[in-house]
Amino acid sequence: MNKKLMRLPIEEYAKAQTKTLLERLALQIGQTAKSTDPESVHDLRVEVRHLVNCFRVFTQFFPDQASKKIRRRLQALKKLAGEVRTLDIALEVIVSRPGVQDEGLSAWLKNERKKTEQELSKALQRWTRRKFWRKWRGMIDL
Amino acid sequence: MANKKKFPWKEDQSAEHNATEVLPSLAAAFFAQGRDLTPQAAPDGLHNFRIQAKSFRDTLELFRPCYDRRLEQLLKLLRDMQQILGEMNDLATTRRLLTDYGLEQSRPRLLDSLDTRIQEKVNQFFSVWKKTFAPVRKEYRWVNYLARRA
Repeated sequence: MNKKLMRLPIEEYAKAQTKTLLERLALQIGQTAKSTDPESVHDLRVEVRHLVNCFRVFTQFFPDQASKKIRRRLQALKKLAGEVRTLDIALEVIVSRPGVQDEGLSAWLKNERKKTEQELSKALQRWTRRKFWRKWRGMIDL
Repeated sequence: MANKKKFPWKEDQSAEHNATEVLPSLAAAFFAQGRDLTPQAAPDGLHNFRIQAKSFRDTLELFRPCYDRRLEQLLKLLRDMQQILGEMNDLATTRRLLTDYGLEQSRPRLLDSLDTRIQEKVNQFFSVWKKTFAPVRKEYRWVNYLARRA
């Protein structure tokens, strides 16, 4: 419970929460750009999801055009991270299957993962270079 | 679906006031969708419910500052249930990936084993739902708590 925050008018509260989530996403993008290990990719998807939900819940407090544009970009990033995540899941599920070894399949999945990981990594470096969060804060008046 | 509608925020009211007015109806919608689920509707029905549960929890978390520590207990119940749905989804995702890449012919045993494990997760979900969420008093507990102001 945070008495100061909870007493804010809903619009101010919405913007405070959005700003916090945007900062968390920026931080996570920086971390995943450095290391695309499975946990980091998962955390990135979680942060994107939280921010997308925040825009959905508080949609009336943001300019329509800007909010739509941001959500589109977030969905694109989530999709890219999702492709890596799907392969991580498959590797985890298959490796954890008791009593069955499938080296060929594991090797193929690892190879696919490497390819999608490179694409994600490039995209994240672009996001970091362009300092998206500064631009977005201006677009939605945070 | 509940998560497509616009939220009826009252701009002249505080975040706390708005949360206690709006979140109880989200909880009611979540329980209603859960009650409609049947083992026969799985996995599509469960997949949609998983998405709704995620969006419900994310929205509750957005309003963490407006509630006391008891919210964490409720969020934990949700998380535990979502964990099962997440594991079920992981198995289904892997199955779909293998099928998409045409590997189902060469690995029938793997696919059978995935199907068995998916069914185990479906059963596990319904057992948890029945115990932790299905009784009417559980829904009242959630709705009343979310409607109460500090």
